Amino acid sequence: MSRTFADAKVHTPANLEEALDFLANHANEGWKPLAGGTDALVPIYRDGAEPTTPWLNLQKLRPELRFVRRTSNGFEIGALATISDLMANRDLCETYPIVRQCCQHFASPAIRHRATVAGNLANASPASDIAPVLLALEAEIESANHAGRRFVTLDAFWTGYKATVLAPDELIVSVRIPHRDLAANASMFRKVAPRASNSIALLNCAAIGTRDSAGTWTNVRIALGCMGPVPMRARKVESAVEDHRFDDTCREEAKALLQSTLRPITDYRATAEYRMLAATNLVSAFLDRTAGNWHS
Amino acid sequence: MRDNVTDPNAASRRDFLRGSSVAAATAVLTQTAQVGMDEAAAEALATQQISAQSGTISVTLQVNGKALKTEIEPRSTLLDVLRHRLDVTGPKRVCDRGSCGACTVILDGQAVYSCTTLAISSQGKTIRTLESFDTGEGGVPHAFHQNDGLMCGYCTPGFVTACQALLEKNPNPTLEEVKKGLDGNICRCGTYVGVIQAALDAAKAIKV
Amino acid sequence: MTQADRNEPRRRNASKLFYGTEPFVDDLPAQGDWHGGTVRSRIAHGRLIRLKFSPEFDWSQVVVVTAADIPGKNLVVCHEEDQPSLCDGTIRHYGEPLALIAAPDGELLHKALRAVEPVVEPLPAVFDPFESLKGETRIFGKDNLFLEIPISKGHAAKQFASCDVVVETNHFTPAQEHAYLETQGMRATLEGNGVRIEGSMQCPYYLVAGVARLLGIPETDVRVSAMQTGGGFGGKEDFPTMLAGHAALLARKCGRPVRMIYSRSEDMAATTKRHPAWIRRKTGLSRAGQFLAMELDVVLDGGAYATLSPFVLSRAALHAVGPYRCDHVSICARAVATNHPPNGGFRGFGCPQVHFATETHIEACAEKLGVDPVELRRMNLMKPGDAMPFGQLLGPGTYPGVVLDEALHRSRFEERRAEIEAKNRTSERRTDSGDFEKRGIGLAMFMHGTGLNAYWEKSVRSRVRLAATAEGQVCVLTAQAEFGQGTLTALAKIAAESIGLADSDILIDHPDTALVPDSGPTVASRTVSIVGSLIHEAASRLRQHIEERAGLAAIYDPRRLKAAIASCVSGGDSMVFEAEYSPTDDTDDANTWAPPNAYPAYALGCCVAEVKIDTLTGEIGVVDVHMICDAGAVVCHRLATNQVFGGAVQGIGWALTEKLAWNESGGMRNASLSDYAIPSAADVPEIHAHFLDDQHSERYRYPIGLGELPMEGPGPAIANAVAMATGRRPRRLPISPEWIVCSQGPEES
Repeated sequence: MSRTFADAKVHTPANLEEALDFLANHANEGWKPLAGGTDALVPIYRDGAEPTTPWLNLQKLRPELRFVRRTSNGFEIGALATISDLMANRDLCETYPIVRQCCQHFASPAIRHRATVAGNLANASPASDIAPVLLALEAEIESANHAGRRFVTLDAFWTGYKATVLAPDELIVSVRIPHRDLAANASMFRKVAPRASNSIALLNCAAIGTRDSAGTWTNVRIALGCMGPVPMRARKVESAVEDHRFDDTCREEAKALLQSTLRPITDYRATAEYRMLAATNLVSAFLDRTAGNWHS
Repeated sequence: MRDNVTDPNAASRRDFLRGSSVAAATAVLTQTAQVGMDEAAAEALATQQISAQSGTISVTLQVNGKALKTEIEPRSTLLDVLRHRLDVTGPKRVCDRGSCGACTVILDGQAVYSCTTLAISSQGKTIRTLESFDTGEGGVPHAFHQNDGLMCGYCTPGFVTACQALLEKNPNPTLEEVKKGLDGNICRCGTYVGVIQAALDAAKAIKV
Repeated sequence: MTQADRNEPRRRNASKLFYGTEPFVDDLPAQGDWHGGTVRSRIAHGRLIRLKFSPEFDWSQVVVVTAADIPGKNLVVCHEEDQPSLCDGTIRHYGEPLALIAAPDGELLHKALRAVEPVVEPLPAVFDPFESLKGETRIFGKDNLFLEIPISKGHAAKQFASCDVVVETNHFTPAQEHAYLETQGMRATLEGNGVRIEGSMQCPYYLVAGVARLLGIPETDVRVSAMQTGGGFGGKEDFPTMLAGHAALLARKCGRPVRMIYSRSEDMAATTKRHPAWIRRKTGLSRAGQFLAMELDVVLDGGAYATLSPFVLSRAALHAVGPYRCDHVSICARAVATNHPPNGGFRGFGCPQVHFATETHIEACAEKLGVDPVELRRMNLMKPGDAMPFGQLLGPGTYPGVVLDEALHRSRFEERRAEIEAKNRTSERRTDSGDFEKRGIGLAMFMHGTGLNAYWEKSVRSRVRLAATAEGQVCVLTAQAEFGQGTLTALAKIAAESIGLADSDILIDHPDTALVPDSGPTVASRTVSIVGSLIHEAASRLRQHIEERAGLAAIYDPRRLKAAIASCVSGGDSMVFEAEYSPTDDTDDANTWAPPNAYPAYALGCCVAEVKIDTLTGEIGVVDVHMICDAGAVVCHRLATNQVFGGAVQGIGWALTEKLAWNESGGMRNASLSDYAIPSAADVPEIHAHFLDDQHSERYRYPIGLGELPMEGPGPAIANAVAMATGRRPRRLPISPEWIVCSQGPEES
């Protein structure tokens, strides 16, 4: 049987300016931006609850906001660029192989065609697949309201489980990846999930860095999903290994620091103990790799 | 700095390989052009009458080559409108949340789940379901039939559609590409072996 | 797929399915149908005081049905008469139907459902069958025991004392959700004095009996049409009886057709699952490895109502020892009531559970004795004439050892095992290459008796009918439903070959009880075996008739035969031929659950599975599966191969990905297809299906039944492969990455 909503509200502004004006005038009415809709539309079929959220349908903003491009400072991903758009951008995927690896494990082809990068980040799920990669790449969020624009680094973007710094009148405009890792010779993305495709992660992990022939790491950045209320960087581990030869002492220190950083929960999908162990194993396997140009 | 999204050299090389017709050139350029560009025209055409809406609205959808007009609630999913307003019952409602692929349709050339796509967002786009596919020996459905790529048949429309969309984009898929391309569809009867073989056979048949 | 390439008929209704023109129940045009929905309990156990209907909702727009509106008996007709169609005052499980509502459109229905609030008085609930047996919370009868089946042969207890080695292990297998892609769906229309039911189902005649009893009308006033059914796997065996009753009650109340289509979350939360099983297995062996004594406890969690639990338990008890010989056996099998939603039939029907225990237990025995588990199996496998614990002798031509040998040969088991052993020794933490992979290979034997057990098969009195047309074609009339197994294709082929007509001259369609006789339920791998044999019998009557009328020559050429049939019909012959199931054995009427000659034949199988394990994350991937099946004659290789693939995939899911979680009220917590992970294409390895069917033995003249068999092997085979890879024996399914990475010690308790 179909689900219909006679009193549902959908507003479709013609462009970004109109959208921001609309939000400024209706800031307290709970309008929720609708981009790809692959997650936002799920409640439509939920039994019992009547979804009353009014939707701000952003589809007409695509000409303005659907792009993936290289600039002098890095890559810019428009707020309505889809996961498929990321995968289709060879430049980005060749510069950062973890982007492609992550996208290949992101849900399914049909979802990748609709789901947007910004929508996924704004959704603020600790299990987001793209979040750890963008965290490891030190991405920034460019957002706007009717009065102007601001930038916030991704690791400051989430304020808690399913919560972000975005004000009710604010929209993401783009996600920016700064040119910082062009020399990285090692990277890893791993998603651990109950099945091989279209699955919600039990945990995920992205890491990038440069290891020289002497075995010393520089520019290491490690990020994890499902290890706390929000996707998180393992900064203590990063600084502990930075400019160090990764030996047994360093490994043990890194493991201890990682475990003091992470705050996984136990739910019906997996226990905190498992998440912690698997994450520790993945990170230390990454750091254990010897020098060379490899991305897995 | 190379901007790979508009790479005229790549386009003309492929253009040459395809026989250098204007149509082919356009197609190639459209595919490689910056993703926003071709959207602009489509969106402008598409969504003229949708602004703030509640209650019932009138929409026209291009389904399988026909313009179909109907009255819907603005939050109706494309799946519900196809099945319950337009009597296009090929796409099936199964998981209610974009996790099984049984409701797959081809929207402007891309496989999407119609259960998490708004009908109003689908205006001005071409919507294709399995009802419109080639029924002959060169078609995807025939390859499924030959390989017994189904059991109960409930996931079948979604698989056939996902397969059609895959082959339109990639006419020479490897086994791995077929598996990746169809991995958004699930089959509880477990016909994956037949489905994958059907996709590979259909790729061959289409070329003949 | 080599065997599938034979020149066989293609799946009959396939092309319609590919073009979306074969309707499933929810594809039917709207036709002014009202939509029906169910008010359900959100507690596990308690008293329903009353239903509070919100005064803010205009109730004149909809109809409401409660238990008080039931004209007949408030009962879901099954074996025990314990399950009410609508709550009778006591709530016994989460999701129990309390009332029904029908509305002219879906949105109004949902509004109405939200406007009803059950006022309940909760009672303590019990979810653990062992707790339940203590009897502190009453759910069923005096002791919460749906059924206990004791089977005893020899003197097991005494015999253990003289064994050289005794091994005892505990096993657990979990609930499994059917996850048929088409949710339960039914449409009821008033027709004459009675009601017409159309929908998704396995057993149309169950619905006839159930609806008639519920409405208090004669069975002749209930007409049931099975539609193309989007998967069943046992989940549409008993449950549709309840749903058809609900749709019929609503249709009568509102005077219009009513359609009830469950949402995915409702379907998962409210319908049956595979029985979770706790199995204790104790075996005494001689030094040489002979099984001398066995003791088995099987406990099934039946859920709040008996439904099919006694039948599942019977099959579990009868197959508990597996295809092995042992002279002293004591089996105690119990199905216990808990406050979970009722568990029911699911492909394998008790066999996957007991085979998992047997086949992982044997490996533990082999380890204790220090012998090769393959050799231990070979030494103890039954041969024709060997007696099973309940007295039946293994039939002629039934050689489990041959199946084992074929599996070893086709999978290169021993060679592969040696290669893996060697590789695992060298692949310890090779940090430079990032090689964190361990592999393992394992095998499992399994068997499945065909049809319902002898007592019940006899009581069904299945009948089939063949009716010729004026064109000389023949209609096959059975009550067997098509839900992906290929019923229509396979039964038509049996008819075509038995009669001697071309496949295209056989007419068969989805069953409609107005037209077809009751040939029993579409369950228990009985379709091609039991029903197929009846078609064969009716066909020989037809041929005999033609021979008498048109001479011997007429029956050997399909075209002449067709002409002869046509001429008989036009000459006024009724040309209707029936056959009824009448077993040759005298079945002991008192022995309902463990009759001595339980099944007319046993299908056999052996599964070899190879797995790889990521030692960092514990993720388990199945890389290769060989399925050797001996199920008598194979009717359609193409379809049978697909059945084997499908069973294997479901077995892989049960073993690895399908982790069913419960909420605090005992309902399914992860009731969605994103949280309950059934295998996707990427989880499925290469599967090699092979049938033993081309030998010149009597066993391969007729099909034995294949539907359930392939589900039963992968679970234990994968567990044994994981044991090889990790050095630890999984005792419970699903085997999680968590167990690989986190748990210590040799095995799980």
